[in-house]
Amino acid sequence: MSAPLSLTLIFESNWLYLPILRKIVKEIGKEKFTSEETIEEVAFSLHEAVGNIIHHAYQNEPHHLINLKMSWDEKEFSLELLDRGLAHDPQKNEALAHPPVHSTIDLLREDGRGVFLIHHFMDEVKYRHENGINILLLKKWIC
Amino acid sequence: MELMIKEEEKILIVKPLEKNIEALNSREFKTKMIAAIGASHCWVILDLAEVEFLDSNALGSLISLLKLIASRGGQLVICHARASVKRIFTITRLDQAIPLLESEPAAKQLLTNAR
Repeated sequence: MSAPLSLTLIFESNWLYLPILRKIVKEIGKEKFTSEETIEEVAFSLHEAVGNIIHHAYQNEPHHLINLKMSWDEKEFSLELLDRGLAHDPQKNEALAHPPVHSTIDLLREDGRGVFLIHHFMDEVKYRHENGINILLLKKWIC
Repeated sequence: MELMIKEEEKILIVKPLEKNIEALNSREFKTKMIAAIGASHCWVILDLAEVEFLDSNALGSLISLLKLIASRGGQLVICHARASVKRIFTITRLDQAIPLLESEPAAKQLLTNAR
């Protein structure tokens, strides 16, 4: 069994970094996942999670810091995101993650799909707020 | 963001020449689409052949465009979407509101029948 590997990135809350982050995750994912679809799912989830931090936690202000720790071993690929922005609303996130199945109103709402897709694509999504820090943990099992 | 725009038989066909439609450029995409649709178009085909990645911001822009077009009694359809893009539509059930067609002729046929 090989030791877990990890990579930590600290970057500013700027939308320009999102395509770069997707590329980094895809490169690492190529080594761990056999399915191109799974790599896309993880990259998409990271994109949406960082986008939510920039938009909601930091209110689109560009110079706040985001800390991303990616770690992987033979069992799982995990992404931990830390920010010091506004706290998430767990109730709202829960509603977005599990919308009513046949609601036309939800079908035509213009926001909120990012959280839903993260929950759909990742095997584990956990959020906590500690000492003014938002901590979001996303995990994908490696089969 | 560059859009290739043509009109055939009162159907507006728009092809974004961009690999990614995401938070970074989705507002520009929406603004340019609204300008292309103008005051009169209500039958619109969006050709996504060049688009490899589309995020939730882009979906929001598409729903906004859909609402504009639907308010005129028209319809928005998509053609040439790649498998990864189609998957996002299917998971979010947006394919129920914006039909995804394999080809431009199939999209045109659907709009012609709807008129």
